[in-house]
Amino acid sequence: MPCPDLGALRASLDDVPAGTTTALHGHVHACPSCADTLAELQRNAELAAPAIALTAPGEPPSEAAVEAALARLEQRQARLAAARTATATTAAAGPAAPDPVPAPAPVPLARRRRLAGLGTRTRAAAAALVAVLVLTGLVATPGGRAAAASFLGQFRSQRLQAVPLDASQATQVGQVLDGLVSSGVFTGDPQQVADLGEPQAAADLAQAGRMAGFAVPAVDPSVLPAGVQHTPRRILVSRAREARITFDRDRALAYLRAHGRPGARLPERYDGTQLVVQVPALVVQQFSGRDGGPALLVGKAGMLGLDTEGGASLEELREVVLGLPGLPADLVARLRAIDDWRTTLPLPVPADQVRSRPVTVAGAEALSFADQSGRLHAVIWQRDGHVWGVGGVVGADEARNVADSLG
Amino acid sequence: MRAVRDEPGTRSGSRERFAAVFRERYRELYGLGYRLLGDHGEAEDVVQETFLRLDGQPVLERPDEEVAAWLRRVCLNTAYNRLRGQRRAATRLERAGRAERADQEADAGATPLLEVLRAEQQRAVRQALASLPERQRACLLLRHAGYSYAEIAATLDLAVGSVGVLLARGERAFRDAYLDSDDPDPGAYDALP
Repeated sequence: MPCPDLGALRASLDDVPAGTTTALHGHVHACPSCADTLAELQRNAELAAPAIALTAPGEPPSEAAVEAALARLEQRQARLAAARTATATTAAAGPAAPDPVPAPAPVPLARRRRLAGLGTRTRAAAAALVAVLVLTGLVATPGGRAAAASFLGQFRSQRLQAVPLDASQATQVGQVLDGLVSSGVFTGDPQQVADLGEPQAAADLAQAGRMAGFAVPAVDPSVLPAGVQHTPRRILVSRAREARITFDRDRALAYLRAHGRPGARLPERYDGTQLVVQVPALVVQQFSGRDGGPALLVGKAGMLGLDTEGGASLEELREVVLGLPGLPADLVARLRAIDDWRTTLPLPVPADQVRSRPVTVAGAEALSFADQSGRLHAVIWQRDGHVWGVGGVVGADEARNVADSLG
Repeated sequence: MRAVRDEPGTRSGSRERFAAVFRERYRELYGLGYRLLGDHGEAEDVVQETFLRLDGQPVLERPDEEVAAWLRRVCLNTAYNRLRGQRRAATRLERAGRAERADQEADAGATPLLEVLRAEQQRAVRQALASLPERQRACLLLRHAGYSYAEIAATLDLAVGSVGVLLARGERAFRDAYLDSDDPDPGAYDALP
């Protein structure tokens, strides 16, 4: 058998086409060049498979979502058909006749239920998003950003608390945010918000420390899980920043009255109050695995700070937001139940996707997380005025080992 | 493959056939759109456009496999058109990556490290894929989404025997782009044998 071409060799890895693989394997066995090529093709395929699997949507659309999509499509088809009929009618009536049917309006496509849709659509939307998330406590120290700053405000994160949130509750919160965004209750400097947390690469830990304003320890290679490379492939730094979001009382009243609260009242002094969010610096060391893809992240951040400037206190603005119609009642109840809300950072946990449990890291209170697949684990804790996190495609114990070594 | 054809030639039969095909194929097309675009809303838009184009097409009366290949082809082309439109693909992908990160931060803030890691991996994968020629990219996505060589060939209008070589080149190019995400070299493997 002559040397098979590249395509035949690749297909043999998938047993395609059937029947030819035996002869091909016989040839490869005797031909070092083809054996090398086949081994390389296999490595490439084994690298690509899990990587490309990551691009799949988290979960397939539910039966209800498929039916809703079909209904939208049928509605759109009906409008198009109506528009065609109208055009034909108009044409028949002569060119002078006014068009009796307006152009078909675009059918609203699937509402982007997920919160981030807001940020991508308009930057002002992102501002309001931050405001509301912060006020309701739905702010994580997002791993990619959040926390440092020597800020001492009314709120200062010192403790972490998991707040489970299911998919429908997340949707409800998203709908409320959508309303606040479109009605302009909260507005912010778009640039400030857009700039939040775009990470920059640092050449080494010393430079990262200078950029962040705190020292960043190296990870002891002996605690890294097997297969994880010993030096970080990338060190990303997100600098500390401040964002200001302005509250519009009149629009808030209009919003409340339009959403079933005709008697809503808010003191005039609230108008124009600015929510000041101190987003802390964050340093993330990214370690690669054997295949070169990201395997482990080790992060250190400062503390998130919040305050208000203007007529309303942080507590008063928080009350306004927690009282908004449409928020899931039990979520609001859980947030209200946090007594020391000025120092506790509630972390929303998508209960259907992630499990969390309290653990300790070198004696400090910590939260441990595992995703549905059981392949990703992380642990987050606070110590000495910083938030720390370790996570990746590692086991729970492996993540804990790295965490313990950092103290 | 489940037969979803109805009585052809009647208006209601054709509507039922259309709805059945929609229910049968929506998820897979949505998955393809999402894999390329990285955005739930855009994936849905692309599937809607795909089915709008199917409406009234003679292909609807063809066997299921042909309809499926036609839908995948139109869906991929529609998604590519979106990627090409307005902005350069790279800018858009970067935006999708950010949206995804923000999405997960807002939605799943509890697990910032997990989510950041996942988002970072997705971003790196999409960026690497974006540097591949479109047919290679489609071939990789389809194969690693579980489609057979015959299905890939029908979708991309290729001979079945050509799928392997397209896949081999695509996987090589993907490896190099993915492992060197900071410095992608688009199309470097077009010249391979």
